[in-house]
Amino acid sequence: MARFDKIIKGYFFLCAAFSVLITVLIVFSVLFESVRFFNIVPVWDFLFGTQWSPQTAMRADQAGSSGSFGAVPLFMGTVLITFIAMCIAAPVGLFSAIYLSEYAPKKTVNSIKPILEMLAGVPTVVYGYFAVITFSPFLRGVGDFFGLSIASESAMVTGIVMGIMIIPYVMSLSNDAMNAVPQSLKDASTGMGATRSETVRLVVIPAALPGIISAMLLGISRGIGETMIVVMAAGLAAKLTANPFEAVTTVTVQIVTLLVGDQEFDSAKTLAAFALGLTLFFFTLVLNVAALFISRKYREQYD
Amino acid sequence: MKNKDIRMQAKGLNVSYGDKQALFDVNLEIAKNKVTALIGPSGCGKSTFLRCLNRMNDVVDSCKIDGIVQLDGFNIYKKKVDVVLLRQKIGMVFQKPNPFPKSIYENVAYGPKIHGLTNSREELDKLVKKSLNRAGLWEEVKDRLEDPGTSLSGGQQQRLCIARAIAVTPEVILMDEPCSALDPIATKIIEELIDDLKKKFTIVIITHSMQQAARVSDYTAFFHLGKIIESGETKQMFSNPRLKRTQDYIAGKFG
Repeated sequence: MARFDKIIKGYFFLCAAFSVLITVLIVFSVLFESVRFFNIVPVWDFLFGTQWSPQTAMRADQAGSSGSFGAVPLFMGTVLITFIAMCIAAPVGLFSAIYLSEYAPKKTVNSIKPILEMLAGVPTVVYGYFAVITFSPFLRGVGDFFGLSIASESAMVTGIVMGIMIIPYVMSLSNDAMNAVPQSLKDASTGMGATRSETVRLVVIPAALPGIISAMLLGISRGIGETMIVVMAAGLAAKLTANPFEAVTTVTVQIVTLLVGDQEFDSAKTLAAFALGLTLFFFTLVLNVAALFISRKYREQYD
Repeated sequence: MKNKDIRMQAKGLNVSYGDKQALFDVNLEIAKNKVTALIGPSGCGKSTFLRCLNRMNDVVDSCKIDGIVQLDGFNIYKKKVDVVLLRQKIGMVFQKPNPFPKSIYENVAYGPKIHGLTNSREELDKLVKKSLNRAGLWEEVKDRLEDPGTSLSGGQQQRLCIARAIAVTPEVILMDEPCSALDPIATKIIEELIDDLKKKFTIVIITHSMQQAARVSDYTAFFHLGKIIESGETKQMFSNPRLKRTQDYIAGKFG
């Protein structure tokens, strides 16, 4: 029996090791390709250049054959869209979490929570559809009414739809954080004569804050990495602007466009996708680690 | 008991959670500036009764309460009653010490702040000091008021919770097994504190320790299966109970 246990244990270990190994391999493959890219284009130009036009020529003597790989407009586009998305997802997600954990009767929780979790299961391509077919024309109409010109692939449309997509994540994670606040603390506050909103504001939210912050960070990280919605709804042209009604492009959109179709795998154009991927990976990793760190470090404060 | 000596009174109190009735026609008088102990086996309804005294059961959706609970002759279950003010008058200390994850100072200042009891930082400082003093904790924490309340020992935490409760100058303090999570020394300190606090407050305490009930209380009510079986002066009940069932419980024959 002990022998059988050992084999099983070894098998489980292999399974766990497998996913770690794959992650490491992915990081290395992206890393190596990125290094090749940075041999052609200096890191500095890539990280701080403001011109993004990655087309390379078919023939060597063609005009504009060198291409230009300044990724700042992409970063800014990603930041702008994610920012708009979080403007929607953070308050709506947080407030619905507060409602569900502190105000809603049990019956309501049991019917609302599955619906919200279903929202998390909607394929992002459907959100993209929704953005392009329904929401974008609607927002343009509204803009026209007020005399605003809104591009059909504006950062606003993409951001709002992405925000809707992120709501369930923020909601679910902050809800978990608030449910983890011991009932005894809420009772203590109620017993002191605090109203429900005072208890939420002064006891529940401060105690759940680490969890709420990490929920936000994970939401942001999802927004940054989100691809399908932006591919469908955001623009392709890399324009450096802070105007949410103009079309912007994002890191993920560019990765997709760089790699779609037949490609030569040694041109700067293709390799740029890996450099973008590496940056993306770096930022989401930082955000995820930060979220993990915050929720671990402060978790046991109230026990 | 004379009328003026009664601080709280329950009349014909019936409580149920959903289909399950927890209290049956409970009548009890709680004497002013005395300690009333509620004893009885687990699940007998004494916690439910305690929570009815400051309407803590209001937060439980399925809880239905029928009957009268009076504070100084006024029914606290009337529609117009402000629960916030009521709970300021009737404070509560819980089974497990439950300080907020805030500093010692902020824990005590919590109630005065939400009720707007003080006008300046100096007044608040004074009130915090006074409350900690009364809870017998001041000398131990005066140099570390900014430390988290959770950094204290269990017994100190419970006294912090008592300080927090008395900071809003309640009339009645409800204690739900306040010593059950504490060691004998911390328990002794709290018992002495209760003895001291009754000069100023009316105290209702749930306890599973017969010795504790005998030591700290002036009156005792024995609950069993949602009913009060016997109530009266502690001395009389412990030395010469009227009913066999009370005697058996006190002697530890069931429960």
